[in-house]
Amino acid sequence: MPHCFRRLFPLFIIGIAILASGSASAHAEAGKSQVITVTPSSTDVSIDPGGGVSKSIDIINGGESAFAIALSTSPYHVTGEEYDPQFTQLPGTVDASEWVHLSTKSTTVAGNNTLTVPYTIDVPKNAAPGGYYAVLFAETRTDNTQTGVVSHNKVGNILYITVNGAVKSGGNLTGYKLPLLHFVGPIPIGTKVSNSGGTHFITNITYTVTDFKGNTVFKATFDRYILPQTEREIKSSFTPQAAVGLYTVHRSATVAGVLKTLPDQKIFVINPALLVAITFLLGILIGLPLQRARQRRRSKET
Amino acid sequence: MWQVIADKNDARRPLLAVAFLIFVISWVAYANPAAGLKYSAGTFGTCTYNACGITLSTSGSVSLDVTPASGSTKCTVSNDVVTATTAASTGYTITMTDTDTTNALAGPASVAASTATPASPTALTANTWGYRVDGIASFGAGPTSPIASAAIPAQTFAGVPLSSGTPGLIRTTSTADSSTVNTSVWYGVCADSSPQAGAYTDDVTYTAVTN
Repeated sequence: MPHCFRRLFPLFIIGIAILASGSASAHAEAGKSQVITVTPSSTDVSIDPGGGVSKSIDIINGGESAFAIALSTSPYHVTGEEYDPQFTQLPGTVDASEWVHLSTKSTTVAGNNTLTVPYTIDVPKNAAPGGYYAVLFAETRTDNTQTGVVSHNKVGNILYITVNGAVKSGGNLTGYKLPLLHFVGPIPIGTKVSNSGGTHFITNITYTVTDFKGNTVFKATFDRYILPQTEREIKSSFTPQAAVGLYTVHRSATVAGVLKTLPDQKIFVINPALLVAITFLLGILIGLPLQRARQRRRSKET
Repeated sequence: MWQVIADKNDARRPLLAVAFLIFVISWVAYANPAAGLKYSAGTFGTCTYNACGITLSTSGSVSLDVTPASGSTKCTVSNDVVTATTAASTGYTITMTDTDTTNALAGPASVAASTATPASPTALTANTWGYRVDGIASFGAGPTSPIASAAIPAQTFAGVPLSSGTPGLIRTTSTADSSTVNTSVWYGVCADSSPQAGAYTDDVTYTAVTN
């Protein structure tokens, strides 16, 4: 067997060399990057049971060369408070991606060109009122001549579908516990918004920080979808710029159309270097008179 | 007379020290030009839902040519540059999977994918291939550098997730990102003299959606 290897090894090297030269040219061809854009990247529609809507998606080829694309739909849900996207069906749920009917499933987009693809969303008559979610994907296709690791670019338009009817809505707003005393660095002031209802809503969150005079020193607003039966974390942080200060953090959000406000929280911020300096000065203030008093007492005794 | 004056100065010193302390605190609190200013306002995107687009670009393919040496394992590491942009105020997420349910490099024979995962990546071994993204999951900070037919790299790699599995995270943002931030996805293959010479390939799919 080792003799066999030894005999075949030169052939192996030659083969690899051929592969190297062949794949080098393939790579040069593929070096032109694939640039694909879809617009919009999310679509929110409300449809009656048994009804439908017509929409379209624009697919833009931002590269020089034409590429083939495949259009497809997938279920959509999220996991965790960070809302990691998943393109699989949750057990026990309806696959709304089957409601989406594309006018074409494969086509070619010329370089630096835009292609508009119409599609319809047709809701079955027996669909229960509530929120349903799917993604419409456009994916680049490559020819079979490439070697190595060949990439396909897939960009999605998330479909937020509300089937009209009586749907329970509700949710809650909770915030990070904030420190009373902070020394240095950013202070996380995020919140979590939960949805206990049957369909999604957009929450509008506002974080404001004011100083002790009431001046706004930080403001951030966010719009985020909250899917039913999920909780989403909306992170933000405030970095105090002054070495010492008393700040008030105000946090509010619209939850299922209702404005909810967390109790204001105060944070006293002091730079550690300043704290050391104050301690040092206080030490001198207290220590010096004591030292003087002790010296006087000694001089009287002597 | 001299003693009396000295005593008066002693009495003033604590007052002067307190005044100095108040001055220092006031100066630090108010002299900072950033204090009391709006240094952050919540304009994090130029469009919201239903109006934004998302763009994804990659190199198209990554060449991983390796020339094995007799009696030793040689490795090649090369990268794909993945970039997404969106004006959506929610940011975006890029993930990656294999295009199908087989993640071995296919060719005259096959080169197995690493069995490691992004949560627990390992160094490559002979006749395996995998991917890594610096600073993501448990891959470590890197930086990873390209190599060609060299010794086994110290960096850890994982097998490309199957299309039916949990996608591997490439990059996620929480605000609009219209700047061109490139993320390198590194691919590595190691071979000894046992795999049959020839062209090997596998397809991967990068998926980008707004958050």
